Amino acid sequence: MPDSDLPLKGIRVLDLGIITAGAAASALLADMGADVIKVEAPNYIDPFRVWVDIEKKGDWWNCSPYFNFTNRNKRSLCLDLKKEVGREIFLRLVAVSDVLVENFRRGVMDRLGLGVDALHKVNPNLIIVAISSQGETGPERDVSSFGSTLEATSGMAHLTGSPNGPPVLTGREVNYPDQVVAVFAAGMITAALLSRKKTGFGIHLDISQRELTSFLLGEKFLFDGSVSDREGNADLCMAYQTVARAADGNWIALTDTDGNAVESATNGIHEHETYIRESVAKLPADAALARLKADGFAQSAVLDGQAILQASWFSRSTAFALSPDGQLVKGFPFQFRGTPMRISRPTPKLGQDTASVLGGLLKLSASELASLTNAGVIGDEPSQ
Amino acid sequence: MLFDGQDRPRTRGPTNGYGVSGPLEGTRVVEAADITAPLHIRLAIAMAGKIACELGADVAVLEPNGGDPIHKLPPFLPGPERRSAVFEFLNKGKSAISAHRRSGFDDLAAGADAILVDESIRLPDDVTAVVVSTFGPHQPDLQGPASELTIMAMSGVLYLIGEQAGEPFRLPGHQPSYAAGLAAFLAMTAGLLAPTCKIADVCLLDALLWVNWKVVSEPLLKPAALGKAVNEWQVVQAIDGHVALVYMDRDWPALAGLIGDARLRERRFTTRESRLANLDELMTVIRPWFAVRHKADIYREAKLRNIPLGPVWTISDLLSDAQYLERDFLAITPAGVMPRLPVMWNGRRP
Repeated sequence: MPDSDLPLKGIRVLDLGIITAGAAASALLADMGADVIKVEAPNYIDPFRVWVDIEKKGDWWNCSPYFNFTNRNKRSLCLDLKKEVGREIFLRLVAVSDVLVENFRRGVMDRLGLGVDALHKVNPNLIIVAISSQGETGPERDVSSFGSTLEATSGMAHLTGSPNGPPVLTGREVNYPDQVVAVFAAGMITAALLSRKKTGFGIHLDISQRELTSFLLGEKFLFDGSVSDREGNADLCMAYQTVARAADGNWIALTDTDGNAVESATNGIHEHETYIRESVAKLPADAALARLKADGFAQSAVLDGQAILQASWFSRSTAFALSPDGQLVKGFPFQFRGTPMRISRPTPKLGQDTASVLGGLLKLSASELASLTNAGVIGDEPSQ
Repeated sequence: MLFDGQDRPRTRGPTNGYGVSGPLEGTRVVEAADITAPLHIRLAIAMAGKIACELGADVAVLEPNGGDPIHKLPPFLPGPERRSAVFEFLNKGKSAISAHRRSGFDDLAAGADAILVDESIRLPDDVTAVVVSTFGPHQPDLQGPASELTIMAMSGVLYLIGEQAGEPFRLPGHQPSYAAGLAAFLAMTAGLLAPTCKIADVCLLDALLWVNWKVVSEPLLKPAALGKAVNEWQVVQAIDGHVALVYMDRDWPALAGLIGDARLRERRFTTRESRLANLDELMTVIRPWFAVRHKADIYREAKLRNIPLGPVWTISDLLSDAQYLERDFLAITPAGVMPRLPVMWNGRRP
């Protein structure tokens, strides 16, 4: 089936998303067929382009692996929104777009003259998606934070780790709140598109990452704070569950969902907690896994990145995909059967599509584009 | 028809449990999973349905004979009824339909706009369907029992959480299921937009791998730096709990100024690299300042200096959180307090 059958074909998205939260939400829209135009400026590039381990030579801004992993399937426009002419051009794009995604600090859009009212004035049907740490309102809306901060302030960190140890953060690699908000925000956008079909009106979505992280712990709130201890690796819903270390030092996750596996492993005579951990500790991981499997446990080795890359199932995972340029990039958290999503465009270089976007959508002439380039309003490299 | 006779929800019209209609008003969703479906699949389906319900959709849960297994999930709320907190959270506002009172799933699905099902359900024609599974139809070689914990192990989530040499820890609650539920809701609403993408597969393994993409990108990017990185952002003890000491390199002067210990100006702590290399010594200098302060006071001081550290709030702390109260995030329901959908839709909760 052609990509033209994807559900967001014909939808145009202005993507002011940066790093993960906003940029990955827009990437999901691109995967589902939307024309996503990533907007950066010569004097403000996505911070994900400034990767700490990159040597600043050549076109270093096009080489960040994190950026390239995330921003495939998009077009790139490099336009200075702080200059009045750049802002005017941007508003003309707003007028012909369906969705705008941003996750700047609160107040930035207003200072650019691109607040909700200004945007809806030029396009009353626009779906404006503001993803932020704490939301657009409230006493903490301007408080600076990262995903790990939000794990702490949402209740998640307090519940992570050993019951006998300190709270635990997922850390910079997982950065859980930034990842899940991208999927949630994309879902709110598709719901808003459905709603707009019926009402015809534009919508302003104000999404708080901290709220989402608490929402994903929703059942914990029902106890009025009286039940909120760290859970370790146990799960009240399972007969038995733990992470145990095998003789070769590798960790193994195991779950008995109904009590039958524990019964089988212990013959009903041993105190299971100690017995199972000790049994695993006596065997190398492969042998321990085989034995746990025979007893009926759900089990898996605790895989690191290398082990995942080498797993027999990795190439079939939808979560990663090969870009047309041969690079491994982010894939999809789900897949359609009729018209599968695919990576049809590699991550664009900064400003790669500026001329085609402004020429194609706004009919700017070559001479107009040249004068904008000379004035530093558009470009294809950072000015700083 | 879907909601006729005794099966009609008690509240007339679309409801999200708060008596307010929403953007998905008029959309009819059916959840169905076989009695044999693993718990994580049932929870993922229920989360997707919950989001739809909160946005005003009519959501019906086809309960297997014997009742919805989520009813029996601990922990239970105080009181003689032993009501499951997870059930109350996920199913508030949905209607339940017992399988034995129905001629069959086809009858129920015929009146629905979308169905959320497990792999065992035969898909009817011409309805938007999201099929939730553990590994997906594209992984025929992956068989056998799985749990949220083993999926976290396979996706590298467990590997990354915890101290460098210590026990790996899982995410709390039901994150693999709920993350897959977010993906299932996205797939369902996308399917409702396009007749060509009516059927989608969501599997917990791929949903969690997508969330945890950096675990795979890291070894590709830095093949020389194998092994688990040290936790740069440490959790430190305060008088009344803990604080997550989150800061970027640019925040270091402000953080050192806040703590005010002259040793923090020494060469061994001046760069990010040197602080990482001397992390134990650094924390020895930093910890005493936090140990004699309350987390709210620490947070106040940090906010004044734009340092992005975060107090480790407990759920109890959050019930009186000024930000959550101001934004009307917590709903008081007959079952207890629970978070509302984390979105303001044109300035109000849907």
